[in-house]
Amino acid sequence: MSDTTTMDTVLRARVLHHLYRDSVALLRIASTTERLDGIVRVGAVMATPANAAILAQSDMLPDTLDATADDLVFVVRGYNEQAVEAALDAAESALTVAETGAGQHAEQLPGTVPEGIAAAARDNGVAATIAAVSVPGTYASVVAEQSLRHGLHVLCFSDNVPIEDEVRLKTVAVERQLLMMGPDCGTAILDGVPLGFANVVRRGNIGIVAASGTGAQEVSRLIDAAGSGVSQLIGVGGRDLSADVGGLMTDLALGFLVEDPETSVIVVVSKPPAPEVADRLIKRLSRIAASGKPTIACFLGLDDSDPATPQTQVCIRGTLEGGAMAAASRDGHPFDVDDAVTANALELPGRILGLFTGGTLASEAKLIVQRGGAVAEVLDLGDDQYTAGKPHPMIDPDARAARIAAAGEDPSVGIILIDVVLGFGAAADPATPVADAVRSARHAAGADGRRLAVIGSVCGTDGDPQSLSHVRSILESAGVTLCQTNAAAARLAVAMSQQHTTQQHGQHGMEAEA
Amino acid sequence: MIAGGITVVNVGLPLIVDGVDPNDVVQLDWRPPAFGDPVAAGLSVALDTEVTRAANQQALAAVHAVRPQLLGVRPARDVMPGIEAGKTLLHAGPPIEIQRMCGPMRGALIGAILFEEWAETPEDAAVLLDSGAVTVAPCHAHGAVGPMAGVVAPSMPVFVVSEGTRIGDGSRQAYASLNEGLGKVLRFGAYDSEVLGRLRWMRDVLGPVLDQTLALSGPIDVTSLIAQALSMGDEGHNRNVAATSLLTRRLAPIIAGLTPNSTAVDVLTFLAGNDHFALNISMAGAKLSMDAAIGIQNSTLVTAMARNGVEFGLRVAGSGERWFTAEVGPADGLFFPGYGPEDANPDLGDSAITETLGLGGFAMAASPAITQFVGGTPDDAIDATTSMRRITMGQHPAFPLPPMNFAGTPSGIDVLKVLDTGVLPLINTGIAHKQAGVGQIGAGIVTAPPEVFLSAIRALAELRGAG
Amino acid sequence: MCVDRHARPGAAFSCAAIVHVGQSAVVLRPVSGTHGAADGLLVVTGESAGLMPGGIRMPNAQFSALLPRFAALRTRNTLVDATTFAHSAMEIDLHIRPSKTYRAALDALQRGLWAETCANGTNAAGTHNTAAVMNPDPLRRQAPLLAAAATDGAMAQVRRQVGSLIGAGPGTTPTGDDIIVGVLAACALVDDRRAGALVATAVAPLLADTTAASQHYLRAAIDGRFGEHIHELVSAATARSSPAEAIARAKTWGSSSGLDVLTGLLAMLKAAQPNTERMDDLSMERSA
Repeated sequence: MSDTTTMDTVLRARVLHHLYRDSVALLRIASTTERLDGIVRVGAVMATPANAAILAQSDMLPDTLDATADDLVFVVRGYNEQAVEAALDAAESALTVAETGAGQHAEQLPGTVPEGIAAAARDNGVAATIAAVSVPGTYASVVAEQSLRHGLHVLCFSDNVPIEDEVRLKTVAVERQLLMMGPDCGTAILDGVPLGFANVVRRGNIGIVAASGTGAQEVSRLIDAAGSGVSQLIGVGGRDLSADVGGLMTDLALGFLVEDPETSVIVVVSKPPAPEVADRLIKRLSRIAASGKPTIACFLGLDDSDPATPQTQVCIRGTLEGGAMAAASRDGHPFDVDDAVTANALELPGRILGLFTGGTLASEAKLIVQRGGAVAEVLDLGDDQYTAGKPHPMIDPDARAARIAAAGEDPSVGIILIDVVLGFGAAADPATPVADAVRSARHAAGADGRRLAVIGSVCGTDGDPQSLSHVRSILESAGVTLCQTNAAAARLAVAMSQQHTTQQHGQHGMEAEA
Repeated sequence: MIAGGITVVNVGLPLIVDGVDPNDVVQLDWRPPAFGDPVAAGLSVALDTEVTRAANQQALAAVHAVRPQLLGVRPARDVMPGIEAGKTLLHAGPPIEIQRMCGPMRGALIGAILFEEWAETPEDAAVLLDSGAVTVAPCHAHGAVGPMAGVVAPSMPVFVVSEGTRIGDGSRQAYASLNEGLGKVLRFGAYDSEVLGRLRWMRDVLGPVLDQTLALSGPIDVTSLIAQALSMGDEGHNRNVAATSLLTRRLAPIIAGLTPNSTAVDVLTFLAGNDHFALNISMAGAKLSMDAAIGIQNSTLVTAMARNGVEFGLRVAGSGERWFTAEVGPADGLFFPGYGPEDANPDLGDSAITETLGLGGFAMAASPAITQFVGGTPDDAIDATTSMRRITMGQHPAFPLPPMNFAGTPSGIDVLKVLDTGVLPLINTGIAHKQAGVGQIGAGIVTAPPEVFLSAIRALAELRGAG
Repeated sequence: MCVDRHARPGAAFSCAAIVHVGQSAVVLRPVSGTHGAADGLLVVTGESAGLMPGGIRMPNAQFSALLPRFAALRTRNTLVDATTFAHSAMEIDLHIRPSKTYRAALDALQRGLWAETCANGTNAAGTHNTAAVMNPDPLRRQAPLLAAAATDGAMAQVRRQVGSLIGAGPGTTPTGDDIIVGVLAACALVDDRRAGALVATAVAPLLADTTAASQHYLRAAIDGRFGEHIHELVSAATARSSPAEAIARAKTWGSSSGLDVLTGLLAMLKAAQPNTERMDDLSMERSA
C-alpha cells in the first residue's frame, strides 16, 4: 500500500497478487466503488508497465507500486483517507470472494429419454409429448423405440436406419396410436409448432402428410403465399410409401387429419409410391373425399388429373406447385403461377445445370427439364455422395456456392438452376454466398464472351427468420432471376434452353409443360 | 392434435428444435447407450416392460423387507451348509480355479490350510492346495460373504445373521467371517505365526465370547445399527468406526459381566482397536437382504457384486445364481506413501455387497470424510450418491441420509438403467498389494466394468425369449 | 472433448488461476522441470467459451462439474494430471487458414462494432468511465494506425504502435494485447506474411511487459493459432456465419476483450483489402 496526496485528495492503491478476476466483475466493482461517498476516481487494471504509464498520465499512479504485470492493482482517489481505505477494503473483499461457493453441485442434465420425461415433469410441470431424435442411425431406432414405449410421438431425423427397424417401429407406433415420423424425416409442423427444417407458415385448414422434406416445405410455403394456411404438417419419412413399409404412417396420419376438426383439406406429398401402396392410398383418399374433406395426392411426376366431382374423388397433381394450387383453391384461396417471363425468354446456348440443396426440389426440377427435352444435369447436393462428412448444403451454403462459381468457368453451361431454402434449420444467410458465387460465375462467363443465366426460386415465407424480402433482393441484385415456384423456374430454364433433344421449329422459347 | 401440447425431449442436434419455444424443450445430454453396443441397447429397451417393472417392484420390496438379526458367532462348519465334510475352503468373488488366483487370495488359502492344520508348513500347504485335495468355492455359494480374499475355513468363527430369532430355526441365514483388523492379516494373504496366532485366538476366545454375549443380549438388529451409523458419518463399507463403536458400546457391559471374564479385557481391547469390526456384520446383513430377490423371474435387479482379485462378478435376480464375469485391471485411487498403481492388486472381496444393497459408495453422502481416503472433495461425496440415483430402482427406506434431507440411499441397481445411462455402479474400495501378505496400500472409488452388464442383458433377453 | 493439436497436456500441472473472462477458463501452469514445462500454459474451457490455443475444451456440464474441483485444488495447491482430460479428445488445428472475406460481411461487422462502441465514450459494458486507464476507446483508435503501418511495411511505426498497445488498457488480457491478436488474426486470414512478421518482430521483445495470460495468447497468435472464439469472428468475416450473432457472442468475452479483438481484426482486414475484391455489378448484363 502507498499513498500520494494531491490537492485535498488522497490516493491509495492495493495490489492483489496473481489475481485474475472476471473483467466484467472488475468493471462493476470499480464503478460501484466510484459511486461511494467521498470517492473521486477508481481504476482496476493489471499492473503492466503500459497501464502504469496510463495511470501516471491521469495522476492515478501511487508513488511506489510494487507489482508485476500479473498482479491486479486497484487504485482509489478520494477526499479523505477513511473513505478511501473503506472503499479499498470493500473492493478487495468483493474481488477475493471465493471463486466458487461451497456446496456447488453440478446440475445433473438428463441423459436418457426417461430422465428427460422426468425432467419435464419436475422442472416444467408438464408431460413430454414428443421425442426429436437426431442421433447416429446406429442408435436411432433404440432411442425411437424407447420413446414410443414411453408414450411419446417421435420425429426421427436420423437416417441409415435399417428398413426392418422402420417397419417394426411404425408397427409399434400404430398400435399405440403414436406418430413415428421417420426415419429420415426432417420436417413437421404440429399444432403450429415447426419441428426440424420447416418454414413459418400461417395456421389454417390444410393438412399435409409428407414423405419428403423440401416437398412439404415448397407446398406449405406456397399455401402460405396464397393466403391460406396449414393445420398440420406430418412428415412420414422417405420410405413410408415403399412396398416394405406399405404406408403405415401415412395411414395413421390420415386418420389423425380426418379426426382433426381444424383440417378441411388434405394433401399427401411424395414421389410416386410403390404401385400396390399407391392403389390402397388412392382408394383411402377417395373415401375421405367422399366423406367431405377434399383430398389431393401430390405424387411427383404423375399426370395431373381431376375427379369428375371434386368432392368425391382424389385430385392428382404431379408437381409441388400443382399440389399447392389445388389445395389452396379448395380452401378458398386459389392462385395462379405467373409464367409471363417465360413467354419472352431469351434463348441461350449451353446446357442446364441444376445445383439443388433440397432433394424433392431437385426431383421436381429434373422431371420438368427432362419432359421439356432440354439438355440438363440436375444435382441434389444434399445426397450422401456429395455430403460425405461435410454439413448438408442447406445448413452450410459454401459447397454449393463453390460449384456455382465453378460453373461459370464451364463453357458448356448456359443456365444454372437453383433453389434457396429458408426457414428453421436452414443457414442464417443462404443468399450472400450464392449471390457472390453468381457474380463471380457471371463475371467469368462474361470475360469469356459467354452469357450465363441463373434462375431460381426461394422456398421461404415472410415469417421465416431469414427475411424473405432481404434474401430475394440480395439474389436479384446479383442477377438471379427468381420465379414464383420451383416448377416455374424449371420451366423458364427449359424455355431459355436452345438445346432441346426434340427439335422445335418456329417456336420462340415456349415449351409445353408436362 | 397432439394431446397434452407440444413438449419436446430433444435427443441430438439442437438445431432440430430451433423453431420450438425453449421452455418447451428438454435437451438431453445424450451419449450412446449400452456402452456403445447397439444390439445390447435394443435388448435393454425391449426388456423395459410392465412385466419387468412389476418383477422389480416385487424384488426390491422383498429386499427392503428383510431385517437381518445378528444372533451369534459359531464355527463355520456348524452352521454353513456344504462345508462339513472333507477339506473345503471358501473365497471371495465369483468361482475361480486355483491356478488363476491372485497373490493375496492364494496366500490366504495357504494360511487357512495351516490354520486348519491340514499341512504343517507353507510349502506343504501350497502342494496340498495345488494337488486338488482342497476344494475351493465362493463364499456366496454357501450363504456367506468375506472381505478382501474372504477366505472362510471350517473351523473359523462366523457371524450368523438371520430373518428369525434363533439360529437354526429354519429362517434364512447368512454368514461372514470376523474381521481381523488392519495390517498383516489373512484377508490380505498373510499367514505368518502372528496371523495364525490371532486366528486361533479368534476361534478359541473371541468367537465363543461374542456368541455368549449375543445369547445374553438378544438379537441385534443390523439394519438399525447401520442406519444409526450412517447418521454418524459411516457409509457401511470403507468407514465403519461408528457402527463398530455402537456395537462395542452395546456389548461391552455384557462382556465385562460374563463369568469367567478373564478374557474380557483382551476382547474389548481387540474391539476397541479394530475400526472395521462392524464391516463384516454389515456385509452379512446385506447378503441376507439381497438373497431374498434371487430367482424372482423377469427382475433386472442386481443381487450381488463381488471380486476375486482377477474377475469382477455380477448376479441378477432374474437369472438366479448365474455369475456374469469380466477380468479387471489393477485398482486405482489414492495410494499410501511409497505405493503406486504398479503395486496394486485388482479389486478383491465380497464387500461390494454393501453397494449392492445401497450402502458404501452409494451412501457416500453420509460420509464426506471418506473423501480423505478415496480422493475427491465432500461435494464429490454428495455427487456420487446423486449419480447413483440414476441407476437404482428406489430408496432404501431404512437408510436415510441426513445431508440429503433424510432421503433414503439409492438402492436396487437396475441393469436396464445402467445400460441406458452409461453410469456404472461405483464402489468404495480398499486397494491391496498384489503380493500376498503386504496388506492395504490405498483406497479409492472404482466402478463395475461394463462387460458384466452387457453379458447380463444378453442372458436376460434369452431367458425372456424362452419363457 | 477437444484439444489444441499443439497443446501438451502432461502429467503435472498446478492450477495457476481460474480466469473468468466472460466465460470461465481454468489456466494450468506446468510445474517446472516436468514434461510440458517449456510449452506454456494449458487453458481448460467449456464449450461456451470455445477452445483456446494450448487448450482443452470439454462439454459445459463436465466443465461446470470440474470448476469447483479446480478451485479446491488451487487453494490446496494440489497438482493436476492433465493427461486425463486429453484422453481420447479430438485434436483441433487452431491455425487460421487464408480465406476469402466478403465486403458485405466486413461492412456488417463494422456497423455492428460501431453500434457497440458509442461516440460518447462509454465502453462496451455500458457503464460510464471510471479512470482513463479503464477506457478501451483511445486504444482502439490506434488499431487502424498499426494496421496501416504493418501493411506499408513501416517497421519503426509498427514498433511505436505495438509499444503503446502492449499491456495497455483494462481486462485480464489488456485491450492493447487483444487488438494486436486481432491484427495478427487478420494477417493470417489474408495471408499477408510480411505484415504479420513485422508485428511479430515488434511484439517479441515486449512480451514481458504484459500479463502471463496475454503472453500465452500473443505467442500463439504469432504462431498463427487462435482461440475458437476468434475463429467465430473470422467465420463471420468470410460470410460463413451471421455477423450479428458473432458480435453478440464477442460481447460476452470479458468487458471488452471480444470487441477489442474484432477492432484489430477489422482494422487489418480493411487495410489489407486488395482492389480486385471490390466488384462492380454495373458492368454485368442482366439476362432474361
